[in-house]
Amino acid sequence: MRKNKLTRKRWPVPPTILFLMITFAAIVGAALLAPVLAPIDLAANDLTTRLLLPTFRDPASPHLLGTDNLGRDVVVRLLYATRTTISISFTGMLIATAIGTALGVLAGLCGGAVDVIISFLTDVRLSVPTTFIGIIFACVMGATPTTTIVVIAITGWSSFCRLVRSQIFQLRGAKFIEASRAMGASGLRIVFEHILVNIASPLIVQATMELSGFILLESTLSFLGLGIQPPGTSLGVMVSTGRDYMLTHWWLAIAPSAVIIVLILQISLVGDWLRDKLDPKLKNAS
Amino acid sequence: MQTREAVLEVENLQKYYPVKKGLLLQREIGRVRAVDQVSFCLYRGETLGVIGESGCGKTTLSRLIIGLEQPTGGEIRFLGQPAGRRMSAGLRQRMQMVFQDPYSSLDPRMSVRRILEEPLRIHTRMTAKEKRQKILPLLEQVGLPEEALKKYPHEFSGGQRQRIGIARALVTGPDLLLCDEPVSALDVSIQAQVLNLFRQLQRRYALTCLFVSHDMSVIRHVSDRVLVMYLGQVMETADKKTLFEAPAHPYTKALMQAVPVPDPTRPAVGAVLEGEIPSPIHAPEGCPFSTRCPHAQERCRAQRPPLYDLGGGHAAACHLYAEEAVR
Repeated sequence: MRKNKLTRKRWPVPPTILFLMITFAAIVGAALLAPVLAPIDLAANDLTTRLLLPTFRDPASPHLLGTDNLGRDVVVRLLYATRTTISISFTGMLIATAIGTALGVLAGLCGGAVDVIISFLTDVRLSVPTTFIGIIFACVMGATPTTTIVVIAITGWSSFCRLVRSQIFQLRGAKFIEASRAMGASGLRIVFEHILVNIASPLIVQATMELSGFILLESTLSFLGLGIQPPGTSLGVMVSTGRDYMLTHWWLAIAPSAVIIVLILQISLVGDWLRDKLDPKLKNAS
Repeated sequence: MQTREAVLEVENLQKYYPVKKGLLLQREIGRVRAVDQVSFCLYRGETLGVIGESGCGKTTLSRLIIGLEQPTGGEIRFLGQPAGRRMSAGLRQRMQMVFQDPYSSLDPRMSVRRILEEPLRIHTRMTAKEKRQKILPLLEQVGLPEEALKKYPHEFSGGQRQRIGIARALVTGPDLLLCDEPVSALDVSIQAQVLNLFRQLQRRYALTCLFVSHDMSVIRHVSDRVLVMYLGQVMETADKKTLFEAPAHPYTKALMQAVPVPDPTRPAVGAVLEGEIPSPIHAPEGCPFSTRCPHAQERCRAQRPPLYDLGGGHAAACHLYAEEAVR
């Protein structure tokens, strides 16, 4: 509620940010509505129409970005791929944020042995390469969308945990927390009424920043064949299959890569802006 | 004198902080005696001023009473029941605190309405309307407009914030109000405003207060009785008039002389106290003030003086009064 109020107060949102937000919403909207916009069977293929040229090479072609090696329209597949990538990385991000926040709150509030153990786990997690964790999980659990979400959650929580922990250490000394304790508030009430509200804005910013990383991670895993499996598709899968035709049909790999780049740019730039926006000091300055 | 109801009884209260050394195997190399055998009684309707230099344990004392710290020893009884960390919710509701720093004692992400309602949210299950009825008169009492409810703490000045802090402490209608240096973070002109407000509220609600401050003039303004602390111990206690006009303990006398007199024609009194406060880790064996006291004798360094009762509620912990004391 609070955030809406702030945005309204500071209207207008800078035009560049507004543009980024609208285009992002358009891409995500189109991707999520893919089954409605272009109801197709993902597994269907037609080798007679394979590798048709895109409109910018052959103005007579009905396929805007041509067709892929199995004769499927690239634009339609891009919609489905973006849909998979975004839903997987977003779900993963939510789970990672929840785990990270919970552990961070525990570490920050309990301190002592709990803090040592959780900080140790964070360090252990950060010392193991993400892709390595991805490979192990794909081997054990099989390469499914669920596995990818699990890998994102398991690799992503550590940065949230660190952030929340350090924020809580700063907050713990705050007099208003002490005042609340003196009034007789329980620990849970303090967490929900004071702590979570006060760490919400850095957490939201961190989540947007991490989301772009998770999109990349999903694409990386799928590119390596550890994520989404054909006939399902994701941006990473599309780059991976398009790679084989780089010399003759370069747009097959470049188009999904461009979508990844655009999504990440949009999210990071909006995240940057959000960080400045939600900073209480900058807020007080005006 | 009629029998007065004791709201708060503190007996032999102690708070020691261990001083540790070493990285892995920490050993205790000493103890800071922040509060050492403090006893006093606070009666309904009166304000007890606690005064002392920084580090004398006056803040720790108030934190012990409200239960933010666990005492090492001694007893605190509030309304006849044991108080402190484990006091029941019902009892806790009857004791509220005003904090020193109005800038950090209010949650920057809460509106004033939510700040004022916080004690009610914790202790009662009132409807929004009931809560509003409870906080509106208080808001008016502390001199803030109704529009303030929607605003956030950063939109207010220090003095206004402290008014919010005071209003928050009064919402539950407490039997005891602990004030921990409530004006020391404010400008002098604002201090006067807040203190006057405090006096008004004292009279209106017949508040029982423990008012901690290092400022003699502030204490003089608000309190009925005064407790002088030095290195965690009670040096002297008396009603305000006696203490300010006829202080008994050498330390209190020195404090009185240190108060600047706003009269340029009067010659300045030189520094009355020599030396620094001893480190509380290496507090003197006998009387804590013996290292700086102009009257210190052998006995003072060896034996800690008890609080000698000088009659009329006046007591001083100084061997000079061993004979005069009403036994």
